[in-house]
Formats: sequence, structure tokens, C-alpha cells
Amino acid sequence: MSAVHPAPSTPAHRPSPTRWGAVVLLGALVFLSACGGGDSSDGQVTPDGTVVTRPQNKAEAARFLVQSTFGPTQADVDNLMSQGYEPWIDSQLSQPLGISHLGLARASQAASQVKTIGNTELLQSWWTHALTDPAQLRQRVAFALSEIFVVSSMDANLSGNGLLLASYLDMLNDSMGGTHRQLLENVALHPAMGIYLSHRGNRKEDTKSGRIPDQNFAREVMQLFSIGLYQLHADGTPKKLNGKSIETYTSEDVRGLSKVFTGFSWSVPPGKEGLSWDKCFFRNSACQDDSQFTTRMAAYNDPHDSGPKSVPSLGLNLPARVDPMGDLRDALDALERHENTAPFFCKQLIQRLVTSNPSPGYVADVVGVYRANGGAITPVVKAILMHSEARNLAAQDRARYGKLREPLLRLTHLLRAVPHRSDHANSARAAGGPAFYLFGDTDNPGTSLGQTPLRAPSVFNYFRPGYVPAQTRLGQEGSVAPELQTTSETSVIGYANFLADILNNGTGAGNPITKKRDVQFDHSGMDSLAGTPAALIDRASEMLLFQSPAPEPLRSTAITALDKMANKNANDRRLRVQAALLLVAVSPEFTVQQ
Amino acid sequence: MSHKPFQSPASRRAFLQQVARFSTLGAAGPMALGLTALSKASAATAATDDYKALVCIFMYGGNDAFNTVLATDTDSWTHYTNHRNPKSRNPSDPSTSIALLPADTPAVPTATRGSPEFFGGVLNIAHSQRATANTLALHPALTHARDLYKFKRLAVVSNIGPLLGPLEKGQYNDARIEKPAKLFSHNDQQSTWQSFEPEGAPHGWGGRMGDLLMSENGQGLSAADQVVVQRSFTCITPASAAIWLAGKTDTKNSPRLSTQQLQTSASGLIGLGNGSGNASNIYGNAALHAAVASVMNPQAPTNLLAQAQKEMVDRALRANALLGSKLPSFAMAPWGSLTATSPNNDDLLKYTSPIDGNQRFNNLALQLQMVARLIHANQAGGLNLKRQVFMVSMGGFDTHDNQNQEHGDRMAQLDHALQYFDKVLGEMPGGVDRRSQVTTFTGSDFGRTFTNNGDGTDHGWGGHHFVMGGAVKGGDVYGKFPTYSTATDKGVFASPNQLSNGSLLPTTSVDQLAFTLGSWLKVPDAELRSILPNLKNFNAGEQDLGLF
Repeated sequence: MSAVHPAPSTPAHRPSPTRWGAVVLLGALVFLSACGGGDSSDGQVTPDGTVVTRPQNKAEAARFLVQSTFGPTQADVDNLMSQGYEPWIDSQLSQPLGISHLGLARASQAASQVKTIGNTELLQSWWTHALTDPAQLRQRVAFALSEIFVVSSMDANLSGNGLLLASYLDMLNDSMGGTHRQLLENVALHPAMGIYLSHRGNRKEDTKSGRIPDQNFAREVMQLFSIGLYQLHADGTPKKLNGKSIETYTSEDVRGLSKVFTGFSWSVPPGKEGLSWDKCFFRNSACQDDSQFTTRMAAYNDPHDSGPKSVPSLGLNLPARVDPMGDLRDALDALERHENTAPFFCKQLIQRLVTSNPSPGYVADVVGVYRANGGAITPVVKAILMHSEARNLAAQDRARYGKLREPLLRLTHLLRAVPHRSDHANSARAAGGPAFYLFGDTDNPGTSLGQTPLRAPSVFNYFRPGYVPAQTRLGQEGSVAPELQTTSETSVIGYANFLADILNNGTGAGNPITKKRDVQFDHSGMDSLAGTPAALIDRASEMLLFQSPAPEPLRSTAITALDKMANKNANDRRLRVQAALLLVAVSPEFTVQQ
Repeated sequence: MSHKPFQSPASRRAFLQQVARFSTLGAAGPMALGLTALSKASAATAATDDYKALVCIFMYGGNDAFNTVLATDTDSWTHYTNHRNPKSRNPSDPSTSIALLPADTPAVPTATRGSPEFFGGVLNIAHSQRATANTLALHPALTHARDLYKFKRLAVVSNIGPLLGPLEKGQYNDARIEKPAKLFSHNDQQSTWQSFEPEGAPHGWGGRMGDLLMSENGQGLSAADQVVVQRSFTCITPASAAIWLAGKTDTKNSPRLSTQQLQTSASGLIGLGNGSGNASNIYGNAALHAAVASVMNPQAPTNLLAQAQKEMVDRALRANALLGSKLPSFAMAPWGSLTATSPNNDDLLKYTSPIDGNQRFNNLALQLQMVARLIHANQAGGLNLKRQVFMVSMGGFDTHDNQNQEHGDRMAQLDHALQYFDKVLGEMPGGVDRRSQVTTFTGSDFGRTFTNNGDGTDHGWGGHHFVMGGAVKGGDVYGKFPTYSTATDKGVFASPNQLSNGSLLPTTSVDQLAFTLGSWLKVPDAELRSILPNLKNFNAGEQDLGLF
């Protein structure tokens, strides 16, 4: 991982020595003191006072792991049951990061001998980390953050250069040990975001020519990354005035903030400090180095607006000064101070991990932890997962609780739970190098997942946290269902067809050596059950849902169908095994997370 | 390009690379053959049946209207270049000019691709002066659109956007006067264009028109088929589902009294099983197919998320059962080349990109191909649909940076798609000209700023849009074309039509356009008015824009 280089030609932004300025706060998780902590000798007191220590059965353990990982494996379940929730979370968060996304993308490049790191290398790293990284909680939360602080390979400038997105993912991983405020700064200064929301290379206005600064980042950092559009209570519900929501900012605020985000562009590589500022700012031929794709953007005085700036809705009034980094930090501080920021962030993270419609009390409790810990992210994650609304399913309204699982998480779960091998990963491992799966995009909703990592259609993510599904009872009740926004008549059928196909033919990208898809399932372990449909469907349910016998009506339906499938030879048996796994994987018990 | 549209077409690039797998199976062989033969008949004759369809092309991201339809009189042009070409007022400003060049400026093929010099001058269009006395022109990439305009099958609606009622500039900053909520926000203005409400709206005006027209559809079919035809086939999108097409469903009391948009792939219908519209087995086994369908479509799931998902599965299965075998192949005239093995390699669906000069696949044209196939499936398959509402979309209009190339490319894509669709409708199978039965219009999140931010533009409000069709009184500009001004050194624009950064304050509302289109579609007047909440605030004489 390349180091961060300080900005050279302009006053000093000195990043902290960790990769993306994150301060690691492990072991310093502070829950709300209001809970009176300390009265539980053997259990974690959640913000609402419930004591939970460990899962009572495998299904409970699996339910927790669906929220906190890319899918439970038998080993994860056993491990969690013996450790208990809190030690598991702590051990997950203290896992030293293995190979970084950048490292794996580079290994992928070296192996395939392509000239540059592109989007394929990034996807291979993403899938490999999702499927095999032992630090599952960190990778899972980083994925959640990538759906809040969105950058996307739909932008040709980002798909063409995998260094940018791999580094961005690493940054999200690194930021987890720090605070939301630090994360915001890391996001604002990452060149991938600079390109995506076009503030990289943004310049102060030219009063003569009438040119004004680009407003893209200034607007979206408020709407999507910090305060949102409406004023919120601490429990995430909107404040009302005469029955109407109150908007948080105006065009005047956007204009004011757009002046702050001027003068940021490519970092200055070592040895290039003496060049005139414009060489690196515009990255012309005198100042080009790959480190610029993985290093914080630098601040440049000349193109920065050094006049006074006012963002009234944030109470921000910056004096005239030549200090781009100071302006940026003061503006981000103002965003962080805003009452909305904690509930806006906490509610979305709950939605990404646990449930689409958290109760106001749940949000408020997590917001309390956020505030008690100065916006530190790991305590927030812990509070989300340990909250009784996450842990105590029996107390929830089962008709409305939970979330539709997005297609990527269904496939990672399937792959983690069902034995398979990647020929490519195996051969790389045998050769002593970093092992990675061959994976390509999974864009096509009709024949694949309709979702590819870091490839949302826009900065508004694949789906909106506030998506109200029209013409459904859920929507009519005013509930949201973000993942339903990318669910369609095409995608629901496409998902089933895709699963049937990959269980039979494997998944991942084509392996040039084996001439097959790289990831091949190994169904041999279930072969002996093929002759007894009831045992087979129960085993498939056990593998994917940690529930045996399988739930009804899935179980009866499956037994009837499996009975009608041939059972004469090895191929027949394999098809029966695939059929059982397919039936579980298309069931609502698998596609809807509770 | 920085920030892609919120809703991109469901079928993305890679999707298209695989379409042949199922779309070849979507054709009904004998029918396709018979109609191909028929289509070789002599010149097209105008359709005589009472079919009508409305097609929305939504341009996600906020189209830059200032570079789509231009005012070319000296005064307007000066203000335009003042703000769009930094060098016009400060020769030492090194940033990029996003000002197009005057009409008749020769194109310079050796200039930077996509630059104003590369494109050459804007394309003059004549008009009746109902919208302005000024001379007007189109983006130089809109050559076919200019021709359609000349042939009077394309019209321009100027300075349109969401409005609660007529709004003067002086009222804009008056907090006591209500304005549309969440102006300038992508997702909210997409929703407002489509439904008159910000994100979270329960239904849109395309879907509501469908609700009001659906009873005319599927007459004479079995009761079961009629329900599917009315509910699922009245409103169809081969793009992502969007609020515009959502009907008004009372899930508790009368769940069946509304349309429910059907989202199809842009290249075919996807059936459960082997991928075609009417598959019936998985792993060669019909019992497994039935079991998968049953597990995905359970009787009454208690969880409402599972319920919503199940309803989608149910609709997909029913729609595919009825329509799968009726949908004609993509490799059929007039919408496809007989030699195409996939829409992807069909030259009819490719446009020339000004960015690199290459032939690029046009996803918007693909979606319109699907609309044409669906229109034909109705005619040939006896579905008896008399009214349909379709939505297609394209993204990439949020041109904060690299605007010349990005916007130029989108204009070229739109231009090709409009021409393609017009041509296809003019020679539908059997030699039928259905142009007068289909009206296509554009919409977008918002227009953009007049000001240049270095090499792009930011979020605005009002914009100019197109309406195309044989029934349209084309070759003219409707609404009121705005006047432009140059900002003072305090950034104030004197034009009554321009707000800060020169964004347009709309003078025509989306309600008026919807009313005009709905009247053409023969939505009963009182019911049509009931779904357009702001229409009553406009003068009776101006509610219909006079496009038909």
C-alpha cells in the first residue's frame, strides 16, 4: 500500500500516518452510560438494556451472521456459538487486514499479465474478499459503506482504472477504525470520489468570464453523505412544520459550499514538489504517477477560492484566507456537527445490515452510541448488531421486520455455504501467490444478478434508502423497501434461472485453462442423500438456513418435486442435489432476511 | 462524466452481450415468417384501428436544454456565449467552452472529438413564432430530429418543468409562495416530473392514465386473460420500473382496479426455466419447474417484503404465459435485421458516437425496438389492447463535467433512437404506418445552469423537450421560449425567466403537457383533470398546449 504524500506546493495538509488517516479504536467500544452498564457480569448490555451474550441455537447464530457477514458458514456458526456475540465482534474488528484490495488487484494483474489494472481486477478482489476474507464483519461493513458513499464503475474513468476503486474500498476498510468525520474527509479527498462527483480539478470562480465552481460534490455531500434533505429528530424521523418536512439547505448553501471544494486535485508525487502547481493539478505529462490514483488529493492554493464563504444552513462562515484544507475541514466539521448527521448515517447503516424500517427507538439508541463515542464507527456497528431489535426476533412484527436481501449478498451467501472450488484460486495458492477467484460483472438482471459490486447506476446507489414500493401493501403503509427498487418481473425470474444455471455449470468468469467457469460447485457431499428427498431438502435447508427440517411449504413442495426427478445415475443424483439447493435459494426464507 | 442517472436502463451493457440466449427463443416462428412476407408488400398504409400508445423517453440526470434547443438571435446568442464560452469575456480563462457554434459553421473533423468545432454549427429550425419571435436551432448532433421537425412529426415544448401554478420570478424567493418541493435534487425532481411529488410518491401520471384507460383493453378475451392484459399490459417498460408508470392501487380494498407496470427486459420476455417466454422445465424436469414457481410464488406470505416479491413473480409468470409466445423476434423487419443473431449485433440499433467516431450500441433504440415488438404482439396476437403507455429511458445527462463530449454523445444517441422509432412505426408489419397512433415525448429531471462550471453545468429547473408522432402538429415550438441575459457582477440575471446561475424558471408545467397528451390519448376529460393536481391553476385557454 502506498503511503500518503502530503500536499507539497501549498500549505500543508499533513495526513495522519495511518493509511487513510483512521485512528484505530478497537477495544474502546463505549456503550451508552445511561444503560447503567456494569450490572451484567457475563453479558453485553445493549443500549436498550437487554442482555444478550450468545446465540441459543444455530439458526440464531446464522441470523446474526446474515446481518454481519457475506453469509454464514458452518465454521462461522460454530465459532460464534462458542465465542458469543461480543467477543466475536471484537475479534472480527481486531483481525489484522490481510491482503488489501489494491494488493489483490495487483496480484490479479500480474497473474493475467494485463497492462493496467481495470475493473475486472477490482471485481476479482471484491469477490475473493467477500468469499474468503476471515475479517468478514469489516468487509461486510465496508460494502455497506460503499452503498452509502457511492462511487461506481459505471463512470468510464473509474472502470478504466481499477487502482482508484480498489484504493477506495481499502480506504473504506481503513476508515472503519475511525470516526464518521474522518470517513467523510477520506471520502471527500479520495481521487475516486473526486472524479466521480467532479470536484477533482474544480476551480474558484472567474468573475470576468462568469465561470463558477462545479456544485456537484457540494450538493451531494449534503444530500447523500451527511445531513440529507430534511431536518431530522435524533430518532431519524423528520421534523415537521405545519405538517410538512423542513428542508435542510438551499441553493445558496450549495453555492457557498461549492467554493470550499475548489483547489483539490491529484496528489504531488515524490520528487515533483518543485513543479509549478498547474502541472500536477491538471496531471499533465510532467506530473504523472500511479500513486496519484491511490493517494489523497492534494490542496492547491491558486485554484482555491480564498474569499469569504458562507453556508447559512450549516452556520458556516469562513473568512477570507488562503487555506483550502482548513476550509474543507471546517466545512466537514460543520456537516458533522449538524443534528441530522448521526441519525442520517445510523439509520442507513441499520438498513444496510439489519432491517429496512427500524423503529425510531432503535435509531435513537444507535445515535446515542454514535454521539457518546464521537461518531466512532465500530461502536455504532456493534450497537446496531447487539440491539434487541436486531437480536430479539420473537419481539418483532414479523410481517414488517427485516429486509429483502440484495442479489450480491444472496450469491456470496450461497458460495460461502455450498462447497465449491475455484480452479484459479487453487492454482494460485499452490504457486504460493495470493489466491483469487476469477469473476466478472453480474449486471444482467435477466440472466445474472442485476447487480455488480461498486457499479451502482449513480451516486444514489443501486436503490434508495427511502424507496417506497408503489402499489404494494408495504408502500401503502408508508414503509420503505430499498432493495425492492431493483427487483422487477425480469429480475425475480432471472435470479431463479441464474441460480439453476450456476448450480449446474458453475459461476465466475471463464477460466482460460480449464475452459470452464472458474467457480465450480462440489455437490458430492450430498450425493448420498439424493435418494431420500426429505433428507436432501432438510440438508439443503441446514446448509443455507441452518434450519432442519426445512420450513414449510418449501419442504413438502420440494419433496414432491424431487421424488419426480430421475434417480438412476450419478448425474441424476447431482441434479437432485442442485434442485434441492435451488429450491431453498429461491425461497422467501433465503431471499428475505429477518 | 461524473454522476450517472439514478435509474439506468435495466439492461446494461453486459446484459446486451447475452440477449441472444433468450431472445431467439422469444419468436413465434410461423407467425414471424408470415408477417415478414407480408411486410414486403407495397408502401405502408395508415393504420385504421383505434389503437393509441404514449411513449415517454426519460433522460435521467437532467438534460442541458440550453445546448439542446438554442436561441440564435444576436441578443440571445451573446448572452449564451457570454456564459458558456469563458474566453468570450476573459481570454485568459483556460477552461473549456461549452458554447456551440453559430449555424452554418463548418464542422472540423480534425478538431477535438465532441468539441463544438468538431460538431460544427447548430441546426436552424423554422417555427410559427407562437413561442418566441427569436430564431431557434437544435444541437448539431440532432440532424435526424431536425429532419423529423421539418417533416412536421416533431415539435419542441419550451421551458417546461414542474410548477404548482404560474410563478413569477419575484415570487420565487418569497417563502410564502409554495414551490415544488426539493427542486434541483435528482431523485426528487425525477419523481416530480413523473408523479408531481418528490421521492416516495405512490403513483405516476402515466400509470394513472393507464388506470383510466385499461377497461378498454382486452375486450372479448377470457376473464382471466383480460385481467392480465388490462393490469399488466396497459403499462409496460423495457427499462427500469419508474414511478411514472405506477398506477394507483388500493391494496386493501380494490387491488385489481389499477394497472401495474410490467417491467420486461429490453430484448425479450424472460420465462422461468430455460430462459424463453414459455419455458416449462428446469434441468429437463417439469415437476421441478412447478416447484420453483410455487416456492417463489407462495399462497400468502406473512412478511410484506416477501409478499411484494411474490406479487412480482406472479405477474411475471402470468405475463409470460400470455405474451411469451406472441412476442415477435427481434430479427424481423422493420425493427430488426433479418440477419441479426442478437439485437447487439444489429446495425439498425447502432449509432455513430461523436466521442470516438465508432458505431456504438444504442440501448435506447433497443428499448424502442421492444416497444415496437410489443405493439406488434398486440396486433398480431389478438390481445385487443386499445390504449398502452410505455416508458423507456437513458442515462448520462448529469453533465457536471466533460459536457461537450458527454452531452454530444447523448444527443447523437437520442437523435438516432428518434429516427429509428419513427421509421419503424412508419412501416410496421403488413405495411401499416402506425406513426399517428404513437406519440413519443421526452422528459428529464431538470434543465441545467446557464453558467459554465469549467467544462460542464449544474442542476437547474426548466428545460426544453420534444414531442414526436404522426398526430403531432410538428415543425413548431410550443410554450413560451425564455429570454436570456448576462449576469451582473453580483451574479444577478435580469431575464424574468432566469434564476441564479441562469437556470430557467419554467413557464409551462408538466401538468399542461400531461393534459395535452392525455387528451390525445382520449382519457375522459374530468378523470384526466383529476390526476393532474396543478392543472387548475393555469388559465383554461393554456391548459392544452395545442400540440395535436
